Amino acid sequence: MAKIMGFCNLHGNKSLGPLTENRPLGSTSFLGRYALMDFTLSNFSNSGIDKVGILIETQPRSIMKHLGSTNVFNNNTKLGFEQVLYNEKHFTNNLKANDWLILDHRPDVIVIAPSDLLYTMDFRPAIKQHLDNKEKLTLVYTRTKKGKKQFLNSDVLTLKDGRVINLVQNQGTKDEIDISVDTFIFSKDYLMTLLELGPQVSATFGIKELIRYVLVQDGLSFGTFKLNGYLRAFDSLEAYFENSMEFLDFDFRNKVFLEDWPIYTVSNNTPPARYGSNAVIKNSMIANGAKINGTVINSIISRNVVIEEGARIENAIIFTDSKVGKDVVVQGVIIDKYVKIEKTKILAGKESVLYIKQGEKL
Amino acid sequence: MEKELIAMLLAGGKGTRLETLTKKIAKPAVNFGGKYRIIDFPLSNCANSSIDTVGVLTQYESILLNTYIGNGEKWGLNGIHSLTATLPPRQTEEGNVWYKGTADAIYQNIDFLDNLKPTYVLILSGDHIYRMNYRTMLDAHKQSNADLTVAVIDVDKKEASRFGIMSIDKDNLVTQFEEKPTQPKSTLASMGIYIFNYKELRQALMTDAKDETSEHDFGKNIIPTLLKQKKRLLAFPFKGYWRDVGTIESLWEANMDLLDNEDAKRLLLNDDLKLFTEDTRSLPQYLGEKAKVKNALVNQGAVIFGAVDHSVIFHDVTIEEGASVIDSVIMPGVTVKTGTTLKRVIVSPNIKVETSINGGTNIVLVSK
Repeated sequence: MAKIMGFCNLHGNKSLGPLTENRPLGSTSFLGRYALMDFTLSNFSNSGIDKVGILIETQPRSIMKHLGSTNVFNNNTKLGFEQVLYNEKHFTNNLKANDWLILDHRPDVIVIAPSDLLYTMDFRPAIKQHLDNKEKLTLVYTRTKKGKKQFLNSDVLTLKDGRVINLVQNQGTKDEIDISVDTFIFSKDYLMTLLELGPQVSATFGIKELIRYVLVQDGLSFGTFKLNGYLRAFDSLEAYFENSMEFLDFDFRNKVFLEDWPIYTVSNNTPPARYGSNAVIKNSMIANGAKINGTVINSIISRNVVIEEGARIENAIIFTDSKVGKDVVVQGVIIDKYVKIEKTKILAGKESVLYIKQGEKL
Repeated sequence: MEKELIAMLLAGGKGTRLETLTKKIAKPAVNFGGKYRIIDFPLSNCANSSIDTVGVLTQYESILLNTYIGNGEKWGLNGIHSLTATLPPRQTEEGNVWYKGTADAIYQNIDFLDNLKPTYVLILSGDHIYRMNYRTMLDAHKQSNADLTVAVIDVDKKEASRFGIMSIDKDNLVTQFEEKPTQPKSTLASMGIYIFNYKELRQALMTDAKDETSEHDFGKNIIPTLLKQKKRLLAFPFKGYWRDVGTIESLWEANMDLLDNEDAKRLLLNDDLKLFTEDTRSLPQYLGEKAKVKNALVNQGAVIFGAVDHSVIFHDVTIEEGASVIDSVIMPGVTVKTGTTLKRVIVSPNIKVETSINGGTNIVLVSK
């Protein structure tokens, strides 16, 4: 059986504006309970990959806090591991400086997966195809019909006979395009070759630039594997808001969260949510530890949030440990952690979503 | 390895009066408070009292309980200096013997204790709902130079005959102890929480084991004998919420207390005595377009399209549109089908309910 190792790649994530000012996208809160990287780490875990490296570009603090020394993803055992790799600004430098992990464990296949795209995927069929076809590299892609509006920061695969011959940034000119899922299945030796090559060509190359370089420069082609199903890009604050809100559609939520594909996350041992006698809640997701005695409509409420009597929350996302006081109206807003809104009585996003930063007292 | 204080948790009881709830699981594993199992309370208390070594004595239907306890990781009791061991009865040179009573259960594990060389042993029951820092009890025990300290709570006079009742002097030293007296002389009840000097405990257990007339019970045998021997027994008064949830009615009441009783609400505070439990990997709870939820505790994974009033809803419960749940406790994995009204009931885990039930003046346990 082939030995597999996974890398969760946090390099090159897009900024979500103020939301990711002090945290990487990977550890940004999602749906009141998760961090975005939980999906990638759960994909590894559920695919039976228990040797995982996490390649961090900046702000390791928030990642360390989320992962700690816990074993929620079933990686920190005597057999497996979850290794935080933080060294250099750029992907190739980071992986090269931390190549001891690969040299130590001698995997046959290395799966590199992103943290700024959200998807659920069993890597095993793709790995099998990769091995069967004796590929150096297999790229995972998906076909979208919304290429003009979404995935504007993603790469488009140029396919020829089912093989990829180029990667080009989406220009937003066509709706139906084949988008890179930024999930790369490498044979170990070929990845090591690329890591040698990378710094010689450009110190700032990320994995995508490196692949594009060899495709164009050396005229190579690589295998592809098509992902069918849920995929979303987190490349702007608006995308974050939309990608969150669509989970309030119950049927949609059930299509993404599948019973045999659990999404693991860190537990905080918070008590059940408590609803008071004046609580009115419609079409919302509420995390444990929340105390709600006001009105909440079409919203996502995180851990330990307090909504007081007479407050009205609509189309909002409220992060952990924030409080909305008596009679305050909140509409179309993302409220970060530890915010208290008591004096300001109306807080509304107009054309675009309003963001309230961590720790604000309003 | 030497430990100052280790805990022995008695979790072998069936809980006969909990009807079918304990048909396949021991009472300490019964669900409580939307998220927890009863045994989470003493185990979290141990963790919060910096007790890192806990022996859990299991006997009745112990598969789920033993699996749940595991290596103690759920309560942070799996550190490098920690030990969480489940201790079911075992085969020995003398043969196969079940635990015959609370004292016998500890006696049969005397090797476990001897290996750990504790100075003090804390004996706990896995049946009670309360939060307590056992370290303050140990401090009182040491300060008073006691041989045994018993945690006590003031109970209702009409309830007193259900408990071990004691009389104390001005220094809180126990002068009299009666197990389940028909005519209680006080309302000071033993909570079944004991701190022994291990030497005294060992001696008492060895003597008791040889006594063929003994029922090998702490309340009935060990404590009265120590009193007779003029040992120093200290009562440690406890203030706060404490319940023995031995019946369907009291289990329901204690759940309702989490909604109504200020002392009980403190059980769920996020402070130094915070409760630890398993994480169910459920999604955040979802309340639909027509949901009506008030005066309720609702755990993660619950999906509510119907009405919930004054109730405790566990993880992964579904309440369909047009269903109503009032004054009830809905245990994990239950589906309440559309058009069903439930009032004053406890619904057992993992069943579908399609028939409306009103418990009326009683509380009804709904099970398969």
